[in-house]
Amino acid sequence: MGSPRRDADAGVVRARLLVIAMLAGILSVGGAQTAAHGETAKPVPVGPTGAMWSNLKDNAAYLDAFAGEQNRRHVEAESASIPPELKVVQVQRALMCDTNSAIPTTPLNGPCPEASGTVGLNYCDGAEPVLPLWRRTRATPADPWNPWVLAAYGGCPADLLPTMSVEDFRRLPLPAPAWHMQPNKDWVLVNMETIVYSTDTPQQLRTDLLGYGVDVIATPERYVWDFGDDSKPLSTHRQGHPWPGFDLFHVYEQAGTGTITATTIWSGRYRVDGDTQWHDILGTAETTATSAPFDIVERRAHLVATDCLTDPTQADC
Amino acid sequence: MYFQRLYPYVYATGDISEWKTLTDPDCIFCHSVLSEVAQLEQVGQRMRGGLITASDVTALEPDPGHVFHVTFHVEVEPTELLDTTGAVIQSNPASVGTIDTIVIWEDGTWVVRGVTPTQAS
Repeated sequence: MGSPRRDADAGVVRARLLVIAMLAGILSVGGAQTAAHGETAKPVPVGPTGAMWSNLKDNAAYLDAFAGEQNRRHVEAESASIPPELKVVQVQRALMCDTNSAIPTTPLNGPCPEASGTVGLNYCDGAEPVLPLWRRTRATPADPWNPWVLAAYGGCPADLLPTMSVEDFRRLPLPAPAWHMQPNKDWVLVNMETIVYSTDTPQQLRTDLLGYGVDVIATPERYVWDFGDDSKPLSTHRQGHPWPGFDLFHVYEQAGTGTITATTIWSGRYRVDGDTQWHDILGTAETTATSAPFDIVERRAHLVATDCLTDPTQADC
Repeated sequence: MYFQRLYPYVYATGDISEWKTLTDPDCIFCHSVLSEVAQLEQVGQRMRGGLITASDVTALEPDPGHVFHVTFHVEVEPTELLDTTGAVIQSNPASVGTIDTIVIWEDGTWVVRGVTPTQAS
């Protein structure tokens, strides 16, 4: 399920960087027998301060605006079939009077007192701000309405749309890794390069989030191959290439039987219907695929009189 | 209010059990506190002080009975970071500001969903 948007303040940017750095730290492993070049995680400096101003922070304004909008939609849907004279709750967006009064009010309650406050509109990067949300109730349809009460502060249009969480992203039907190995047979050679490479491509998906349609683009960001022996998995941003221009490979040192498990780590971006902006998903998803078992065999070179393809019946072919 | 009392307690003692009970896993601020406290634990350091006095509380109900937006003015006492011997290795002066807290009432319990502290300039 989605959650209120929280990707627009500096604290969240820091959080995102931290998540990315942590993932980089987890995934940056390599083995002596496994080749990929140059990716290391830098340590993330996070110093304890105890002064709460320096903690990472949520965006309470967005959480407020989102919750208010969800409730507004809910109330309007619930009361759509109720005649106005029978309603006991109403919600409406309206201006807030510019006053320093402890109790905010709106022109819905009558003319505003003389302006004395600092009420301003939200700045929405060119978009029309969403006005504060007001709610009024009455005990029964026979009672008079209570005054309109501020329910949520409003915000920007994008604040009212749901956020795709990484959990939402991981529930999408992302494809298994498209990857290949060479030799592409049921055997590979000891002490020779077993080549791997990926042909994953960005995926476009369509899903639903809290009643909103959402476009998602999943992009393969990292590839991990576990060769099933004692070596560390090969983890890289590269897709690799087939022979002869290969750059990702593993050398098995022992004969036997092996399998290779490929993992693709996907980043995601999404755009909610009604929003013009794409947003990054905070976190990644993984898909895996394991090869069929193959033999790891030793081959010896022999001198033969003629090419074995020409005469496979000769000795040592 | 209890949440704000808990904040300095967590830093002073490293006891995070109540903090985890009271906070939503999606709360970024709450999680950053856990990370910092874990770091302090790792190097044997403690934070002292930082008691918070709250006033001017206002509350909205964006989603009545479920989501509450509580805003209050706070005064934060000075804090000191202590090393393993109890020596002061860092001091932070007193400060003031506002805290916006999004609190959720769900399944009979309160959970802090988000915290935005804003220091007064």
